[in-house]
Amino acid sequence: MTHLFHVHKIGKSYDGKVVLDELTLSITQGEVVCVLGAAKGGKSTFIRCLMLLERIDRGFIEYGGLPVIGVASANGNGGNGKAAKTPRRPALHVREHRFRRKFGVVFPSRNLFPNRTVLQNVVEGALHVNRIPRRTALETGRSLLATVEMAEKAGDYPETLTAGEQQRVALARAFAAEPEVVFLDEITSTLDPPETARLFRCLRTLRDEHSAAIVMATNHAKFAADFADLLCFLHEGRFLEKGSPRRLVTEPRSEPFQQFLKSVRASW
Amino acid sequence: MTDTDWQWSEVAAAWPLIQGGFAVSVTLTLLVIALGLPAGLVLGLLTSPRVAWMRPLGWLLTTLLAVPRLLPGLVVVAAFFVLWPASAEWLHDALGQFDPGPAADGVAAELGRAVAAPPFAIAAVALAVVLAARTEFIVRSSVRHVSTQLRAVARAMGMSRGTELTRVILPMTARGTAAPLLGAGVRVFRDSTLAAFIGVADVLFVAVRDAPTPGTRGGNGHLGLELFTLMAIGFLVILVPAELFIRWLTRSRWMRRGERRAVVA
Repeated sequence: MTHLFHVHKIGKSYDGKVVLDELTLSITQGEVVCVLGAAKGGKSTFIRCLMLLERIDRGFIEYGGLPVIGVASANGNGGNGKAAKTPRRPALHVREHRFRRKFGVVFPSRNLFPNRTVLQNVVEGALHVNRIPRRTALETGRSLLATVEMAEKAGDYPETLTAGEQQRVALARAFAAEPEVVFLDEITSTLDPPETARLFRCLRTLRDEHSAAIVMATNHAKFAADFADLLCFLHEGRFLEKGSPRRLVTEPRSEPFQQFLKSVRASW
Repeated sequence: MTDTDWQWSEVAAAWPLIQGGFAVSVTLTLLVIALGLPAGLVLGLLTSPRVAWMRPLGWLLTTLLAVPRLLPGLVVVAAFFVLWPASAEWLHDALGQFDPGPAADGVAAELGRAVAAPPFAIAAVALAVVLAARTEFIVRSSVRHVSTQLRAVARAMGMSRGTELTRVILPMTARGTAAPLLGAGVRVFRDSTLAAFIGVADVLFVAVRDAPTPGTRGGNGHLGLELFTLMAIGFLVILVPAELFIRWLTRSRWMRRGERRAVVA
């Protein structure tokens, strides 16, 4: 299996406050990684850093074996102490916006362009960013809308949709341009339980139909345990636990993770 | 002059003059919009902090443009006329070819002569600067209201700055700017009468200068009231439909597509 992302000891601080601290992770093709953690735990920042929407301070990120930002230098790499300080700019061959075209993303809310219909929203990136031929893009868009159970609302404007419907459309859009990785950032945080269940059902179908790797930040531990190939628990900027979902959920090692599982179990 | 002493029979003789005057006003308006609107749009994007390629340039332009925007239009026109007649030279040269010569007659000839005269070009530049300043203000305040969340979505999709501008910022801005910009266009037509004060033979100028005295063919006469009334009717005939069109356009489904609807309790 080929590595897509290789993230090594990345760190990020805001005004001296450490948000991400020496995070290391590898993501292979088609793999599903769920990042669990309480609110404000750095999950969104982690995803934004991988997409270069924010800059890491330390460590380095590689994609497909090539450096994206930061360098695996001899003295800063691994071994003792912290990783080397990372330069602000990405590697020379990386054009930021081109780099992001490999990915699909869904934010917690307000993902859709209000002046475009559901179908136009889904094909927007495919048509105008990834330059997929019109007919192909529309065909893919329609079938994706069918997958997320929104086919009959293709011509509606986002304003008329419920929060759950909007998130499902955004989910369809994330898969519209054959992405290599799809990032899902707390996509159910504004939804009620039935809408959440429906969204998760669509997500499973999309996963079966597409080859994209998925990086998902969530605190639905039960869904994540069942859905993910790799589960990470992010607590105060560090991966306290990382491993197969089965092991993590059945025998949590760290105190914070046990507490986290207990707290979310109440809402299962 | 006794105010109630309408003499419409004499006005007929002045009708071609009024026609010529309106032709000049309309031409001036169209020229001002053609010059000022695109300039204002570009300036508005340059001064928008959200688009900002060069912030100090943006601040400088904003400050400079506040002057023509805040001063009365007449002052701006007068300032261009007095301080900087050369500013309009290139335009004057370009327009000079319309001059039909002193012998020609009729509306087209009136128009040609007025357009070819130096004051016309100065007025065009001055009013275009005013329109550009107003447009810049409208565009800048509208761009500011494009949500940061949508811009994050656009960036996350991998849009380049150019694509983000044409696919997200401009369409979202267009909804907020269409009505005020069309209004600014209407305002230009009203403001075009300011050109009369520096000697452009527009409709106001004609009404004042060429109004014939009853019973004679000479100018500077006493038909002012009648001609002003005609002028007022002319403005209304042109501007009322324009207003109605703007109302219809801004309420049309196309303009309001996807717009947030009022929540009815």
